Amino acid sequence: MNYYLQTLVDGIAQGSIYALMAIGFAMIMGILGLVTFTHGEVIMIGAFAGFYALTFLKTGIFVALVAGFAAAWILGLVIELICYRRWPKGPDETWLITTIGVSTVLKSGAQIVLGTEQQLVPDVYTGFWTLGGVRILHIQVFMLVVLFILSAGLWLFLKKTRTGLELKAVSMDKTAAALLGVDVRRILVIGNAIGCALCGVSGVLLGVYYNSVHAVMGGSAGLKSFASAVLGGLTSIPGAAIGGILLGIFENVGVLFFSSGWRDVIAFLILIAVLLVRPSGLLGRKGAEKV
Amino acid sequence: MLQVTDLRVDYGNITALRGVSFEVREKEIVTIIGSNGAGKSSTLMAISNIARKSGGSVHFKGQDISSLKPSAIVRAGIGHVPEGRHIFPFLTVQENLMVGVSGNVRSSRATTAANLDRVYELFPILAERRNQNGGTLSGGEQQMLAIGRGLMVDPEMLLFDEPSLGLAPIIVETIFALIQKIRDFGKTILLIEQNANMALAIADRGYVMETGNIILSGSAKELANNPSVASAYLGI
Ligand SMILES: Nc1ncnc2c1ncn2[C@@H]1O[C@H](COP(=O)(O)OP(=O)(O)OP(=O)(O)O)[C@@H](O)[C@H]1O
Ligand SMILES: [Mg+2]
Repeated sequence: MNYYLQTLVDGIAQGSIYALMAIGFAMIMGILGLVTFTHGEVIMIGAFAGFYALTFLKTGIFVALVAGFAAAWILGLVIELICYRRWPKGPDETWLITTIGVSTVLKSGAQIVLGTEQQLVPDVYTGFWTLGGVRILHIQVFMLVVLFILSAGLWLFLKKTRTGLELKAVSMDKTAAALLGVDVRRILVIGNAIGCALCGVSGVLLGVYYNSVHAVMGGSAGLKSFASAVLGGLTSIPGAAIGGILLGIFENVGVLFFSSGWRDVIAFLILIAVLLVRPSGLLGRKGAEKV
Repeated sequence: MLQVTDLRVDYGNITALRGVSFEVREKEIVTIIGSNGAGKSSTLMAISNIARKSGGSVHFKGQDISSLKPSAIVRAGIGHVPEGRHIFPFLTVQENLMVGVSGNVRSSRATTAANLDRVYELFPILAERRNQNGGTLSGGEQQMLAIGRGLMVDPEMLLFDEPSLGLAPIIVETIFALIQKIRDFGKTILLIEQNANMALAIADRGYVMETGNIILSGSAKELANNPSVASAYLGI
């Protein structure tokens, strides 16, 4: 029994990282109205920013999270400039291709500049509690708290601010938003940057939780965020959060039955299963984009 | 107030506008009538710079606004209630209205509240439905919401693209009465309509459009009495 509870706890903890990256992904997809491919690399850059803050600047975890947030935000602005702004009137495929290009450059560039080896990330919060035979790491609770604070902040921002309302409007109908005086370009820049920043934070947590960062970690991370978002309904933010947590649980349960080599395959299987059974995801709304 | 000169629009190899020129003077109601595909919506979309112009210019109050971005054109004072309503389906009625505040250069807490009250007064049904998602409204209610959003922008000039489309006759009457009322508030109006009877009844002047050209212009009275307009657009 404890064994299963332990799996659940670990799954939820891991899922909190996936949830964060999926929220960022859902946000970007909602606002752009299409899938992009720079996602995994944004997570990787966030992870390295956190890693450098922790190891070289010897900052605490909070500064590392801020570093990941800021680095990914800036990268988001650059991606917008290169991938989207220069090609505003092109067909949708243009953005797919530009983001694949930038993602490739980032991945290769990271291998050259940051090295091809896995880097060891120092431990933060090594302590744990034992509750009825189940071990709960402090870092696991910390990750859930980070997820909760950032989601609550995002929810408040979307609900209470004018920019938040404009973000939602742009994600549903760009023409209507523009005709009501919303600066659609500005909203794309802000929405994309926020989405990237959340992914950057998830990258820092990923590095800290697994004690490692790697220049090619973006591939698997990108897949996880995509699978979580699809599970939740692609562009629904609460859906993405739930999808991420569920993916974390599924992965850990799956590893229990198969072996840890299957971890990444599980995300793929879930992705395919959802697309076959319920393409609109758990909280997806049919036929419209939204944030 | 609005001067459109030799406007051209192409979609790929389809030419929608072949050099359209007209003007709208301050506090006028001007209507453009024409059959399906004549290029009426393209004209409005080009004025708002949503559709790319392949030639020509648009001046508003003497200023060249041809290359301003859409949001800047709205903030310069040209509101646009588009064809097909374009309601935000998952925003509530009130949120839909509140988006219009983005284009309102005179907005403050007080003016926003007053504008909201005015819209709800004009369309009591929207007040009743204020917390309901826009996508759940009936077609007619959505049209009212679209117009209400345009009023939240509170621009000097309003472009209406077929506001009576799909509405019951009694509501059409209300909408046309409302358009006259908006003009009496001191606004300038450019009205696109298929319902030429009603449009010419409230307009000061009109233009008739066909396959990307303006083929006729005159006072509303002249147009209504013109035999070719009568046979083609008034169903007489
Ligand atoms: N986005 C587009 N892509 C390609 N062709 C378009 C596009 N929009 C309009 N057209 C074409 O341009 C021409 C003019 O269209 P427009 O929508 O301006 O007509 P309209 O006068 O508003 O017609 P309606 O009364 O039916 O609304 C039509 O032939 C139409 O098919
Ligand atoms: Mg039209």
